[in-house]
Amino acid sequence: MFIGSQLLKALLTNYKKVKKLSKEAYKGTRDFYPEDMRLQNYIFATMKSVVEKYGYEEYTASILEESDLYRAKTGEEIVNEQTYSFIDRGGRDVTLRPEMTPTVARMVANKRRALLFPLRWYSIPNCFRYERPQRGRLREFWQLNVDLLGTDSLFADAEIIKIAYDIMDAFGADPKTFVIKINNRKLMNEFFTRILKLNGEKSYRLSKFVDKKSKVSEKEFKKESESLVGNKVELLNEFLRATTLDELPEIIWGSKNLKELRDVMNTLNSQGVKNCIFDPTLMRGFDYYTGIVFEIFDLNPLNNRSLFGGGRYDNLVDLFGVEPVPIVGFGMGDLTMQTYLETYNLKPKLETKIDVIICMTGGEIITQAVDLATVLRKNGVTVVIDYTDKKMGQKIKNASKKQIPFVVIYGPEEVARNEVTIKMMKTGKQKTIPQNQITNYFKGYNEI
Amino acid sequence: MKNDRLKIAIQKKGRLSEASLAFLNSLGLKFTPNGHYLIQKCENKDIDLILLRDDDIPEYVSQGVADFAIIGQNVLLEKQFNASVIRELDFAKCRVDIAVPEDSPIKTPQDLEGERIATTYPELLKTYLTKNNINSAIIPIQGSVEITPELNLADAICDVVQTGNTLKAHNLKPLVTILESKALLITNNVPKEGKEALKELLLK
Repeated sequence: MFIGSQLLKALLTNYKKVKKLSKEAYKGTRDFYPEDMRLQNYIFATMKSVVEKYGYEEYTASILEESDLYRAKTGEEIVNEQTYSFIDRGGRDVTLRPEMTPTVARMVANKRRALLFPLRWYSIPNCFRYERPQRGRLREFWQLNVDLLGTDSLFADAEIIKIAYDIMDAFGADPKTFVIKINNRKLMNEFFTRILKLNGEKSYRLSKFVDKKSKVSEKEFKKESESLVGNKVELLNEFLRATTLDELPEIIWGSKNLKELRDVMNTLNSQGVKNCIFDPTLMRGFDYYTGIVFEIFDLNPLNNRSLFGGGRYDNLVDLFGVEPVPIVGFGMGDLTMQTYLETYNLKPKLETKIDVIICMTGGEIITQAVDLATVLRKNGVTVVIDYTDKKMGQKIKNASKKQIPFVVIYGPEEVARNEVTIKMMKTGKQKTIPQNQITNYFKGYNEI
Repeated sequence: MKNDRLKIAIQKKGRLSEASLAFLNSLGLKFTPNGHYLIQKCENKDIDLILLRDDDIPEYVSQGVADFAIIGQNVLLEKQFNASVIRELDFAKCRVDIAVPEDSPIKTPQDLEGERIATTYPELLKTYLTKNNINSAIIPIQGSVEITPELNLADAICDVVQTGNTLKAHNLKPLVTILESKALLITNNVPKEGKEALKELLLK
């Protein structure tokens, strides 16, 4: 579109007066240049390859949801302080999704009767949280969400945890470098209400406090827990000190919730997952969890932290006034995984996907060059044609900078003799072969 | 009609056939030829001998159809099937070599970078090249590999060499040996009645 030069000048002058345009991405978000995208794609592809082998199907939804969706169950902290919320032009209070779980619950509730349960669903949405950006935590992140919906079988809990384990394995993680912490919210509730005799409100406060245990001083924890449980504080401490199920206070041994936890752990153990440990202080922040909760925890002293986690949430769909759907699932962030891969030197060398660039020594053979490229592309070779008038030396230099492994040097002579000359960038060696063989030549490489 | 007898597979016709049969005979297992029928009954035990193309043998063993088999190491490695080797046998010795024309500029394996190598053993070759960090174009073909350099289909070949006479006849010389192969006795992990006893006999 033509813009009058005077108008353009006026616009520019006006703009300069206001502010210099920033070249940086918006705070807490990332630009993905092609090399960043390669890593992102690798991470997603690895996740997908595992979950799809278990028969999980991909879904997605809009990044915008009505804010009420999150008020209901996500947890006060996230909704009040950490969302990107605004009023749209029609007066609706909307939010950029801070997580996917409420969305999947909404989608399932919407087609509660039509869907064929159990469902195995996954998605890799981007999510927004208004947080202070720090290492491994940004305002926009992507998160693999894996959910098994419509069954309360403990084998479903075990399957979900096994998938998390398999994804770590697919990234090349050594199972000695992480543990899977596991707990049962039902067991905690039973202990708080039946044994410690706490009412609903106190029980909720204690669960929140236990969740924060590792972040507060021992003295502070003692003070707060005493104020909540009174003279039963020793029993609480005995419970929270347990590192195996057998170390829990005897008073809880007969609990069926304890048996549930034991069954899930035994199932995982029999499937070869040997790094699953009980952690009574593991609560997971979200309020909606109702059963088994788990967390993949990095054991590296430099990165000693939770990588990701999930659990069972059987009540989320009822909020929509439909029959309940039991769900177990987990979320796994792209940033966490990226940091993990860096920590353990597991990031693969991801090179350009371009196999071949065709460089012509004369412009009059462009039709033949395009035909050659077409044949190669049909056979799965990724080909770029260099249309520039640059000297051959310059073209080859550029190909080398772009890490393209092969240059096909193509000129009128090659066309006349029905040949192609191939330059291998790694060795600099050149080789001329019959043009009909070029497909098999490159396919031979793709097999390596 | 289900046949539950223990089965030993050997090559129907080729490098390993005669020696395989002789080996089994030496252990006292006698089989009667049965016209063109490819399953031969053992005269003195409840065992069948099945005659197969050697390429197919690893598949039969890994699927649990044949309980034991005699197979060239080259074929077993090429097919990449799960089978456990229980005995190395002293026949059908050969090498898998990469060979080049007498006047080739290719002097070392590293010179193979970027060159075309025709072979009936693409997997073996790929393993060797990857291990040695060499990138070459593997041209898989089914046979008569030796003529490919002369016809400008390849710059080198990778094939089984026994005496070296075929190479010489085509003006080729060995560049590097990628495998020293011999006949192997293999089995699978499928349990079957009488299998252990037969295994003991085969290991005698």
